[in-house]
Amino acid sequence: MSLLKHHTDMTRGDKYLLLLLLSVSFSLMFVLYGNTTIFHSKSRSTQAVVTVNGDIIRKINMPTNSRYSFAIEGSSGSFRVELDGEKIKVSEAHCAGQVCLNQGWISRAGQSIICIPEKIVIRLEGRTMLDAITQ
Amino acid sequence: MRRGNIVLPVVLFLSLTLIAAYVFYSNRTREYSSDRFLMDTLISIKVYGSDSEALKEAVASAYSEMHRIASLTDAFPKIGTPEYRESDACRINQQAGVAPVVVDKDTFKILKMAKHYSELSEGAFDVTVGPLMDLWGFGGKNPHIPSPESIKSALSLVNSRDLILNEQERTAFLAKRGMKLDLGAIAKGYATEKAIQSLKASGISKALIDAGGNIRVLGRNLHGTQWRIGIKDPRKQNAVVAILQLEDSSAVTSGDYYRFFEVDGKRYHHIIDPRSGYPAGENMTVTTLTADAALADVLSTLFFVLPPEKAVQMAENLDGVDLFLITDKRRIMHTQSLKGKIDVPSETSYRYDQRR
Repeated sequence: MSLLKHHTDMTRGDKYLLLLLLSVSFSLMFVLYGNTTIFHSKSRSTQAVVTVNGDIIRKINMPTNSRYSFAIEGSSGSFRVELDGEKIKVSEAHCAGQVCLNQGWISRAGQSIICIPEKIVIRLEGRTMLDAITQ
Repeated sequence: MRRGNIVLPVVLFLSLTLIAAYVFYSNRTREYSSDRFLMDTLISIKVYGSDSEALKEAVASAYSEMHRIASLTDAFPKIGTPEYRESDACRINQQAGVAPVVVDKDTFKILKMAKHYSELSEGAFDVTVGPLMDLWGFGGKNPHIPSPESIKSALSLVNSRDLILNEQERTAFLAKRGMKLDLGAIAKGYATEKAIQSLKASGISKALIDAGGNIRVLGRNLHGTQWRIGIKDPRKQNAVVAILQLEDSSAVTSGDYYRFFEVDGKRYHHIIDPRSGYPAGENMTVTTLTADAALADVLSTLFFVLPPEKAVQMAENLDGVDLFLITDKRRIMHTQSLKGKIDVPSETSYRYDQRR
C-alpha cells in the first residue's frame, strides 16, 4: 500500500525529466524521419510527364483506364503519344532518325522516351528500383 | 509544490524542442534535378544536399562546363556562325592539310587521350573517322550503305597517325586535306567528367549525371547506399540485363540498338570500325566501368569494335577498368573483378556461365 502511494506522487524532478524525455523523443523524430517521407511530397503512384523544351505540357496519372492518344505539334509535324494502362509510347513522329518510335512502349518509373530534334521528353516519374540505366 | 512553477520549464522544453525540430528540418537533405538538351542528347543531373540554392548553383555551373566542352568539340556548326568560331573541332577540320590550329587546353587533352587510345588499340578507336561517318549518314534523314569505292576513298583519310599534336604550341593539325575529326565517342564523356569535377568543387558529395545513357556517379545516393544502375537489354524493350552498384565511378555503354537501319534483314549500326569502314560486327552491347567518364566513353567504343575476347583481355590489363558485354551470339562476358559484383537475373535469356 505504501508503494502505491509513492507511485502516484511525482516530484518536480520527475516532471522535468518526463518533459525532457518527451522533447528529446519529439526532436529525434525529425532527425530520423526528416530525410524521408514526412518532408518529401513524392506520391506513391506513377505519373507520365510530357515536356517540350523543358516546359511541362501534360501530366497523366498512370495507369490510365483506357487506351487513348493525343497529339503534340512539333516543328517537323504532328507527334502522337499513345497510352494504354501502364504503358506509354510514341506512335507517330516525323523527325529525322525516328529514334523515339524505335523505343516502343515504356511502363516503369524512371524510363523515358526522348525526341531530340523536337526537344520532347516523355518521362515516367514515381518510385524506382533503379537510379539510372546505362545504354 | 506551487503550480506556477511548472509553466516556465514546460515553455522552455517546448521551445527547445521546436528549435531543435526546425534546425533538423532546415538541414534535411533535398534533391534537385535538372535536364538540358546538349551534344545531341538529353543530359540529366541529380544532386543531393541541404541547401537548395547551393544545389541549383552547383548544377548551373556544371552545365556551363558541359556547354563549354560541347562548343569546343562540336564539328557540325556551319561556317560563319558564332558556334563555328567557338569550335576548335571546326577550325581543325577547316585547316586540314593547311596549317596547325591553336586549341583550348581541354581540346588538347581530349585529342591527346584520343590519339593515345588509337595507338593502343591499333586503330580500333579513331577520332579521324569524320569522312566515314559523313558517308554513312547516321543522324540524318537518309542513312544508307555507301558503295565500296566511296568507303575505300574515305578510309584513306582515316588515321590518327595523321593527327599531329604539338604540346609546346598547344596545336592540332590534320595532315591531309579532307581529313575530319568526329569527337562523338569522347566529347560527351569528357564533358561529363568536367561536370562532376565542377559539382565536387561546388561542395556536392552526392550526384548522378545521366548524359544520354552515359552514367557518372559521385559518392553514394540519398540513403547512403551505392547507386543502382541497370544495363539496358539490347534486344528487349523495358528490360535490363544486369544491375550494378556504383559509387564514384562511370558506366558507359556502346550498343548496336540505338542508331541503326536495316537492309535485307541485316542491321547496320552507327559504330563504324575505322579499319574496315563498316559497322563493327561482333557485339550487341558493351559497358565499360571506370572512374573517369572520358575514359569510359573512349573504351566503350573501343571495346565494342574489338572482338569480345580481345576486349575482355584488354580490360583485364587496364587498371581500374571493368567490362561487361553481350556478343552477337548472345553470350555474356565480363572481367573477373565483376564476378559477384554484378547481378544478372538467373532467368536471363542470354548465355551466362557464372563460373568464368
